[in-house]
Amino acid sequence: MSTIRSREIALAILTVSAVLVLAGYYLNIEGLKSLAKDLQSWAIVIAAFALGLGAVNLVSFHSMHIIRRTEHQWYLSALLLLSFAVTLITGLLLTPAHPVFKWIFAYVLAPLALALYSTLGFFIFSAAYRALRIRTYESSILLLCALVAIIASAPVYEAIWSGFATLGQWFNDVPGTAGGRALYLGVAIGTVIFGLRTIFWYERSQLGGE
Amino acid sequence: MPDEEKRDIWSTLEHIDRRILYWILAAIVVFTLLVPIGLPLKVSPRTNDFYHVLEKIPDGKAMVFSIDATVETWPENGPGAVAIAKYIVSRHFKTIIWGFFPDAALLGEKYIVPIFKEAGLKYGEDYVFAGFFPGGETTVARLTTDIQGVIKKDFYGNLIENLPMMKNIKSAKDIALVIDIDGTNGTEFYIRHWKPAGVPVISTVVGVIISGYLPFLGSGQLSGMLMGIKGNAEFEKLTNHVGKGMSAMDMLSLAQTALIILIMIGNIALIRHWLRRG
Amino acid sequence: MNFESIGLLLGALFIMMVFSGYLYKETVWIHIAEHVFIGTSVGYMLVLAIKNIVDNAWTPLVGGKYSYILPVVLGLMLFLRYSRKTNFFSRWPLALMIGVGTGLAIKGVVIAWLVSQIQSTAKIATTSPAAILNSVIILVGVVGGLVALIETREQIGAIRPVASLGRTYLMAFFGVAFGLTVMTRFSVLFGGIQYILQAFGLVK
Repeated sequence: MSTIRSREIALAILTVSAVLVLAGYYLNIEGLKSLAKDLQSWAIVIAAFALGLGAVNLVSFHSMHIIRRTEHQWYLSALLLLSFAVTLITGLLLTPAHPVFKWIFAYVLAPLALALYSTLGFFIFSAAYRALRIRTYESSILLLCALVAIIASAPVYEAIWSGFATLGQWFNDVPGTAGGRALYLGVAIGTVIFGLRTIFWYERSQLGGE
Repeated sequence: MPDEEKRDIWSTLEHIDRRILYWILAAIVVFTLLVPIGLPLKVSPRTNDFYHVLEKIPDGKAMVFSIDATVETWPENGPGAVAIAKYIVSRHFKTIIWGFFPDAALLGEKYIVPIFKEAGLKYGEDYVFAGFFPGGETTVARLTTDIQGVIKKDFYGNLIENLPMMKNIKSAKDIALVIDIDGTNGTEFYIRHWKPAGVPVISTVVGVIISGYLPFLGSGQLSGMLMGIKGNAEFEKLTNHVGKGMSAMDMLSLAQTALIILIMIGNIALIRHWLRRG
Repeated sequence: MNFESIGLLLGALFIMMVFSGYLYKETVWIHIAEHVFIGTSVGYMLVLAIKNIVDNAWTPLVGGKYSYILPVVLGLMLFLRYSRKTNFFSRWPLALMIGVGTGLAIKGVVIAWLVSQIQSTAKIATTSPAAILNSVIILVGVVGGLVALIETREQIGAIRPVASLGRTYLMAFFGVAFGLTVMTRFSVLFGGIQYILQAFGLVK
């Protein structure tokens, strides 16, 4: 029983899946390619089940608030669970293609998502004002490049002088691309190393280890 | 009163209540919506390049129209998506519409599918709407080799294998181009798995992730890119399908001008503060 | 008044509730909007996930493709995490997802990021003097940026100016990224305010 409960089985599954996916790509063996494809299909199905986990956590957390009558929270949790239940029941009984479900998406979910994301416009306006200052050499470079990008992406300046767009494109294509490439290469090296460490069991944190 | 405690206009501006800044921005947006000015807009070389990639694809070829935007990013991506869809229907491409984020299903059905319907195209023969598939990169990778293995039914519940258009579309080899409406970094999945399979990828991306794709544009892994709402508006202008993108251009010009002025005020206040301190 | 008009007004009301928290002050209205959003969005995603499981696993399974029993069972095993006696089983499907994801990430990153980006950086364009200069600037920036990122120990000697130059390029990238992000944020705010004005018939 302790063998079954050990983390080593999960780690073995992880290693085998990762190696099979890589082998299916790099080796030209039909059986391996087919197995790699199947594994990827299974992962897609399991990912769909994982969404259910999030829902269960949400319901239990907010039910607890309602049961305990947490001050200033229980009625909000009740509203949350009501919205969840209405959306879920409508979608399952009437299907996602039904006009009622589409109405909920178009006139409840979409405007709320839009509103919450829109507030970032306010934040960036105030954050740019407070943060883009010439305090140090690096912050001055940041300010200069940000100003060039802002000017280049405002249509009216390009119409006043086409040089603004050319300058903006140069900043995008040369120093911007160079910095981005350096970042990508650094992240790529890190991803490969972390992936290999995961495959060889040096990293176990994803499965609840240290 | 000590110098540090004296409040002049610059100190007041430096410590302004952020809600005043929010109201300034909101006022600019409301003004440009109620009073369209029609400030000029030039089509950039990058948008022209994007258009030329589409132009070079022969009529009748199959392409993927991937909606990886969300309702939050649709105000920026949507105008370009609509203009591209209108261009596609004029060229008689065979189009599969799908997406890997949940919003793709209903965004596609609400904004993109009607364009194909209104153009008189036949569902199942000229276009197929497959809806949303979870699994992100895993699904994108899997689709390169076995489209019908992943997509068994379309959004409306029809079996994919029964749709006439899909008889000749089994894998990435049968696709001439991927167009990604990207608000969520989905283009990167296509760059990693579809471009190596020989399928060119073009994308309309939101401003926040443009800089992340510049290296791919430079290396040719991404064949074309519409950059944010401005790129979307330029494509609308280029293809004569004027829509919501163009209507946002006045706002963009004025709001960014206000931002530039504010940044300058902030820096002048900082320099004055340094000079006072000696 | 039809359902669409009622919906538009409801949507506009929700947007105004959220904006009031920033343009005025934080009140219960913004919290109501947030909680309705969370409830609806989780419900919506769950509906789509269930539809996906039914279409892509359950239907083929009952149709005779018995290999699909494995992903269905593995998916259900995720829910065993709620019992202390059985939660170790929930690591198995997780391990499979992580393993597949790791394999795909390594495969994708090696080609798309490492090989292609190194090739493009090393290629010096020779079409014109400006192209040569740009290629050299990019090459210097990429090398400097990598040194700045990777050399995490104390930067002394020759490393220091190279890392400093690399940091300049990284700041240039962040500055460009910030400037372009501004465009996105303003566009979305434009969309939100446009929705309100459209709902009240003030704009088309």
